[in-house]
Amino acid sequence: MKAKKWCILFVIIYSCVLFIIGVSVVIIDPYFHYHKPLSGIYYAFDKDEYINDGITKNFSYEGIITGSSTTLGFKTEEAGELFSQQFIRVSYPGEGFRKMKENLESAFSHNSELHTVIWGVDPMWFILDKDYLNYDEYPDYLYDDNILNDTNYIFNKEILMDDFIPAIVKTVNKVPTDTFDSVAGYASGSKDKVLSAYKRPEKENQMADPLETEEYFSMLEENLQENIISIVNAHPEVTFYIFFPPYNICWWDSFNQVGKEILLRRIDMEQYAIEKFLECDNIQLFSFNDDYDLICDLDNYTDNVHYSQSVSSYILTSMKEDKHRLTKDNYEEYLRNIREFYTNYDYDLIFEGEM
Amino acid sequence: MIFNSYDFIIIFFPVTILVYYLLYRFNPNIRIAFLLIASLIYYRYKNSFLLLLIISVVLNYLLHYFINYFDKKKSITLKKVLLFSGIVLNLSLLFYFKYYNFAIDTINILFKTNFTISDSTLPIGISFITFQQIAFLVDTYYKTIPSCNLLKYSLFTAYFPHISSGPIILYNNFVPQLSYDKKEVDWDKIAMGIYIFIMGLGKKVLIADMLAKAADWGYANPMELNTTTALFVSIAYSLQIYFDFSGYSDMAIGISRILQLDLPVNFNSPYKAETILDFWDRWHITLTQFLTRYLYIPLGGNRKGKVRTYLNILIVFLCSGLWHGASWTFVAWGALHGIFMVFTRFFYDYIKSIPKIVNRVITLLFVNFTWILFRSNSFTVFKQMMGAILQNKWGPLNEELCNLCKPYLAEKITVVELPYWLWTVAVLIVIVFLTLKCQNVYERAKNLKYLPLTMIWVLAVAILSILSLSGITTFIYSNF
Repeated sequence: MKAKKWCILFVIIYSCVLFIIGVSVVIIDPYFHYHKPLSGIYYAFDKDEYINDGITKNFSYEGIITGSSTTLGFKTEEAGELFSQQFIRVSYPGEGFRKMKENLESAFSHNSELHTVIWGVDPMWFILDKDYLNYDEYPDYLYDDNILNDTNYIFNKEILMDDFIPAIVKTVNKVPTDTFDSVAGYASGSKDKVLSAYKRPEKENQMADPLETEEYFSMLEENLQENIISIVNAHPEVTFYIFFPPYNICWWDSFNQVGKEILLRRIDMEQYAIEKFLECDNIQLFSFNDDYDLICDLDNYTDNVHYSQSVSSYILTSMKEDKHRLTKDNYEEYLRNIREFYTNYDYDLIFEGEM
Repeated sequence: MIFNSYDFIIIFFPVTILVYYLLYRFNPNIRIAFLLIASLIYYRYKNSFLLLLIISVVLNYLLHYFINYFDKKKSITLKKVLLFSGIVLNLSLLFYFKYYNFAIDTINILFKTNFTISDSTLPIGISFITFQQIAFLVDTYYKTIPSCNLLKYSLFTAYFPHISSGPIILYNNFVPQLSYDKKEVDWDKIAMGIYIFIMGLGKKVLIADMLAKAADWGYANPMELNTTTALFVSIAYSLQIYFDFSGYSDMAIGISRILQLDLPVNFNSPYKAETILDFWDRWHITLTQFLTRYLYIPLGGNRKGKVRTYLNILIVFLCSGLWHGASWTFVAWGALHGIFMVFTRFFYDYIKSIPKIVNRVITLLFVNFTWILFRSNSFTVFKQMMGAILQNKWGPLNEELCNLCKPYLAEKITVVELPYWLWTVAVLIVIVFLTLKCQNVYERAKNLKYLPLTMIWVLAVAILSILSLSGITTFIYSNF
């Protein structure tokens, strides 16, 4: 072979291989970056941070379930039946409110049919800088609209090996594709799981530092305003079903162990959030912290904060039936009740029979 | 933009090549102008110092013009003033961007002052650009450069394959190639260019970047290393820096050959060196040549007796250390090399009588030891790394490190349960073998056979490298 022929052949084969790889990834599109899932193809729904943007931009839906990992157990079909709408679930495990707001902005700009948002607003992330991101390595090439950096997606060895090829193999083997509901997390809970994961803090009697409290409330205000209230106000035509994920009694115990004032400060923060949310007409606000049977029954949970699918289902049904809804009329009573309950609860009962 | 990026490989480079060869049969000035535009686009991409580059090129060109002008007028003093001003100007820019904070830091420490450091970023390639501009002015002064036009000079400075990381090129080696009014394409050169570029890409992406994970982890956690792991980390870094830098140089040289232009070879199997003198004839060759020609020889070289020769060597290596980075660890690294150079020259006759293999091992050990200093971002880290190596606590390789730099495909082999360290150690041994025993890229390129097997090999490296430019991150869900 002569040099000229070798070079031309090299360029042709090289271009063809890259072309075939690129086109194949675009057609199958394991992260839904270009289109919704193709019928008959297997898709894995296991990398939330990689698939969420594609789901948001390219799926058909009228409702969206969003939040942190505490929304992973929600089933879209159930939500769809209850609310008579097509739902998607876009959860960002371990993430604060900013990422969810950014995703919702993307959803609103790509889908004019979006009418309902079910949003699990974690009290755990109240005290965060408004710009906080838990992860700094989101794949920007999937989230932005720059087509040039899609090369990171279509010529990516790990996506080819971990997602593209398995998708082909499973399709050939007729493995049913994942769905939101088939990968819903936290199928069941148990008290043993919760207690083995829970490290009870030493008993103290800390007082709430006024300066620290002021700083926390300042962060909370900015965080809520910037990441939740602003987007709610920008879309008055959309109903936001906001709920506080019901963390279990161990979570409350962890504050009580530090000090009663510290526990009460958490409830004060919740009060602040409630009052803010209730100012928005298009928010329907729910809290289950006064459902003590739920919260004290650790068999409903897998750890301090993650509840089983049956609890997720209960939350959905309650929201549809307007149960545990907070309104301007009832929220003060709700707060009085939970202050009373959580400050007087005998937390040692949690561990009864465990020694 | 960097060579090992999708933007470069998938978009910039193919488009540049295509247009370049479409213009190839026209007047050389057209393709020079095109290459200059491409180079400026390359430099501007994600880098905001294009204007600085243009101003620097124009100023240096004006200095060149007026040095020639005053030469014709026989105004030697003005010539000298212009040369001196040019050197000061170029070094000032380099000082401001690269050494200002280092100087301020040092002053603050020494005199317990509190001067504010600058937050300016480093313009890409400024160290290389500065050296080339200085060489250009010195060569103009000594009349080894004929008067040139601004277009060619601009391309000489901004030429995209070498602007960010060299090789350092000299005007007389490069610019005459631009003027060839060639009509025929040299396909052998293109084939060789493709081969060298792809091998360089593979060296950088498949080898250096994998080793980098081990080195980065090790140098970030020196206190957690036992002797085995610390030694592994130090060897991994020695290999990483070679495969990284030489891979990048290979890519620059390969790109140029595809464009029918020759850049000087920068690395010639440096770890096969028998002595430290030999090492510096093989490692970053264009820098060594630059420092020899524009610093060592003007200082007197070896013409002023042994003591001055040794002093000149030390000065050159101190400057070399400082050129590599604005930190006292780099200066110390340069000093150690300088001292070992002087030592080797002093005992050269005796050293020559030692078996080659012993010399090679000593040189390798010394170079590996000094890379520890080079990689450490402070003397504290260096001390910790050396402490980890010398603590004599042998044990298994750190598992986290092994998992970090395990080859990707090895993770897919789950049929047999293998010890966690096996892949990592095996890969390191293969890389060491490639480095010490095999021909380098240029030796193999010279004997390139246009066989289907060669094609398959080059294609495999190319495709695997491109597919390895991006990965996915595991989002470790631990905080919630």
